[in-house]
Amino acid sequence: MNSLKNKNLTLWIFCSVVLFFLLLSCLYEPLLSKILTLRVESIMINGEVKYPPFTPLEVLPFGTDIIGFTIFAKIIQGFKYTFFIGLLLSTAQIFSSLIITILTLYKLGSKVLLPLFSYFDKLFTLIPKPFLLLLLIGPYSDALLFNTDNVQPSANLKFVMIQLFILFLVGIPNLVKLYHSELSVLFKQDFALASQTLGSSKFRMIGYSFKPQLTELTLNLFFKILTQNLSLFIYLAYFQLYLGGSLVTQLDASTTYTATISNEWSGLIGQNINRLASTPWTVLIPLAFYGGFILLLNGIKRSLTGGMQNQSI
Amino acid sequence: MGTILLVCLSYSLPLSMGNTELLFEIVKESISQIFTYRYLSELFIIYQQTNGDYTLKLISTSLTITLFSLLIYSYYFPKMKNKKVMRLIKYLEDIESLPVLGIVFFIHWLSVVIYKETSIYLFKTVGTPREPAITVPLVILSIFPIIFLIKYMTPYIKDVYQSNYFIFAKSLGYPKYKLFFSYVIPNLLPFLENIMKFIYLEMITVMLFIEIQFNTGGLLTGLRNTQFIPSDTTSPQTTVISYLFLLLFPYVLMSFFFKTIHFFKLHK
Repeated sequence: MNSLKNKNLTLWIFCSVVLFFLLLSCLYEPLLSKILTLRVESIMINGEVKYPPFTPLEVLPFGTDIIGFTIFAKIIQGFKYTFFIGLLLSTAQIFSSLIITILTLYKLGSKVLLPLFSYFDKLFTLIPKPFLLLLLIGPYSDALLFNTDNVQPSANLKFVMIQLFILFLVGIPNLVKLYHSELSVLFKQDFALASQTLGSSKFRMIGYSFKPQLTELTLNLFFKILTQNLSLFIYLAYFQLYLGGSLVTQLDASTTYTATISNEWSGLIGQNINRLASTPWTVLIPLAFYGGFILLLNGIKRSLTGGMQNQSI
Repeated sequence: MGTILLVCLSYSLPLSMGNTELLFEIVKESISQIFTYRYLSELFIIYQQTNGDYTLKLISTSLTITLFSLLIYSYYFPKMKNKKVMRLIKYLEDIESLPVLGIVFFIHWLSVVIYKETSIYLFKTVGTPREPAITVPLVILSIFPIIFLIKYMTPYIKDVYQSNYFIFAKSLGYPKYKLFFSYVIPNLLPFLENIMKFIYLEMITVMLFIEIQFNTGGLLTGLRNTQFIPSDTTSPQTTVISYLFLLLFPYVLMSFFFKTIHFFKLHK
């Protein structure tokens, strides 16, 4: 009883933290952007004028990037994009794979769809995921080249849609396979066989008899795919294929700085990736937030599925 | 075949959406180039030029380290309390869910900081294709597989130790090490089969970031460069397919090895 109470409390705490961050992020454009320091162009240290980048000790709390934008403001602004893109993508993948799995339970689906998705699952496993994304998304990035003079919102939107569509397709086969194997086990259970003998249809069994098992499985898979998608976002950012497009700034005659437009967290990591040795805080602070967010999701998943296990007992 | 089609599709799709003729032409061209004797010699040249030895040697060493760690874990498993194991699994699950790239960056940065603060050059953090970094990449490459293997194998290890055979043999006074090698390991091997292939594929992903981050060169650097450096050949898709073939060759060998074992087991 006590452990169930503790799990509920933990769930509330974790959810509150996520919601608080989300609220802050949503309030960024209308309110916080007017209060927070967004850019520091120069500061005086010991009577000397210093130019960006500034360390977290020079500009509190997290310092600035190479062109002086504060990491703190960027992190607050970008969270909502990371959260909603991840949520949207994972929800779409879960629902689609569930529908496809239901179709595979019927004769035609099991003969056509299941072998097709199993084949794609194997194929996508064989090619390293980061390279697979680079291979599929990279050419589109080249085709819709972004630069400071010619940033087209429609091109950005098109690029995001292509990225999300490819990410969506890459995740589906594995989910279909997992759902199918779990449903196959469930259909072999005694209660399922009895129910089928009494005339229950497969569709009704999924919607009614397997509801407790499927809800727990869906929750587990949802958090699994959400975490996986977050990792895939970083892979994309590593190859400078930022979600939401990028903006190239000319620092001097020979140096350019490619930054994410949306300030989405994986983009923040990706845009400074080559500066790990010179300005480590610009990479490690967003990375720490990213890791923290994933751990929070893990905590929420554990509290939710743990609570459900207790309920079934 | 699927890999060839996928690579060709990626090269043809952005050029002309829905033009199946172009895709067909690219696939035909690639296949006609791939199934030749000359292509095999080109594969060997690519392997030599891109320091393929480094990639495969590091991965195989890491696989050995991973298996050895599992051996030690399963030997000392009975001494660990159930609660301790559950807590360990929980922490491992958390680490496993973190992005691979984050761990690569963090360890790379940490090793640089240690060098900067102490001036002790413990490990090479940035290498060259001729003198690549070994220790830190090997540590990073082994972390995730060890975590994954421990997490995946713990229920099976538990089942083996709780089996009637093991309890009975132990009560008869058989030495632990003898039982471990004659009963525990043979019973764990079938579960390892599938997972080893999967671990190899996961290692390739981690290796991609290690090679780029530590500037070591290797097959995965070559594979990545196919997308960033303009190709001097008329069919860049064939180069990508070559790298994928080279990377998947150990995987095919592993599958063949396990199939041979199964064949001999069946005909024994």
